[in-house]
Amino acid sequence: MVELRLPKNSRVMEGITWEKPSDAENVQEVRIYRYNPEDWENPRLDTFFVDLDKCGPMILDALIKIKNEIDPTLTFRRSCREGICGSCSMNIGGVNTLACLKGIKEFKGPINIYPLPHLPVIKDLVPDLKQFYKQHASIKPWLETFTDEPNEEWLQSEADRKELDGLYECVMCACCSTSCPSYWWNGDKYLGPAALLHAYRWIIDSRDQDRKARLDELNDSFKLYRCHTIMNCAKACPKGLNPAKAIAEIKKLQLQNS
Amino acid sequence: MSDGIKHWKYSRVSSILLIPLTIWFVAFFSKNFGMPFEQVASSLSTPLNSLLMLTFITATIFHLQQGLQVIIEDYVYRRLWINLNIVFCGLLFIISIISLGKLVLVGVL
Repeated sequence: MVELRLPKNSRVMEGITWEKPSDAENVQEVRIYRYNPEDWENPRLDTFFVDLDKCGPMILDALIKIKNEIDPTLTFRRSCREGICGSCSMNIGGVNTLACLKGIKEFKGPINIYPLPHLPVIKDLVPDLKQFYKQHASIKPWLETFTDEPNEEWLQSEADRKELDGLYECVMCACCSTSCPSYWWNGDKYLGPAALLHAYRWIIDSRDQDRKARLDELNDSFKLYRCHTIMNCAKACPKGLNPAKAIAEIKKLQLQNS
Repeated sequence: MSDGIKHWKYSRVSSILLIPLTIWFVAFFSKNFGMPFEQVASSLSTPLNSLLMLTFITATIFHLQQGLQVIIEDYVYRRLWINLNIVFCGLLFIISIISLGKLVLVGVL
């Protein structure tokens, strides 16, 4: 069900403005969403000033610098700092992306950083991804086989392996799903682009033997058919993948199957 | 909520069908716009035109029902509204068919 305004206790207030570094010439203003469930206050937008001459090139570098040098209570997820773990996904300058892959110089003026949209916030930039992972698990992201196991590995031709390009690279950062209006409105019933991209990855895997059941499982007006090809997912994906295309391919396979 | 593919297929088929039908309808409508009632009725009562009009009405209202249902599912999701939509489109269909039948009869007689 649609809610157009945030609930009263979720509306973002003006926050603390930290002091500018006095000796810096090259200063970048960064505004960051802050929320602490323990202080019973509304979320707020804090303003930080980062000395770019003493900071790495990426948004994640700026966040780490802020946490190290200005406010150690700033909370965010990060791990690999090179776009392969999918941890530091957040909404930067109005677009969902990975902080480690987004350059500070790509922005003009102040940079606004929020957690991923339309998810419960645990603290600051850390959203609750429980539902997202549950949906991923629901599409059975593993090889389903019924024949006897081969002596060595399950073999696949080079051409069959190529089918998985553009699908297996997904790092489950949730940028796509949380940019999708359909997922915002019906995130409890619609699986969302990320889970569906993974579903397609297993449906077309030549080694998988459960294709029909996988397709039948998705033949539901909510799980799959809430996709209205809005294409925000493809636009948001920091890895350049196209979940909307994968969803369209699933629909095509279902059509052949029906 | 199964049979997502059925709904998807029907709305694609009806939308493709509606492309030529709408072109025909616009052409027919602009040709007959402002003409006296009897003349409109008689040009509508030729077998080809009445059949095309029947298909156009059916496809449009079917497509309307399917499309509205998607919007309701997206934004409100109450069974009541989905059912009301079916009733509304059904009534619209019945009224349209009766009107068309009347027009064709007037044209023929």
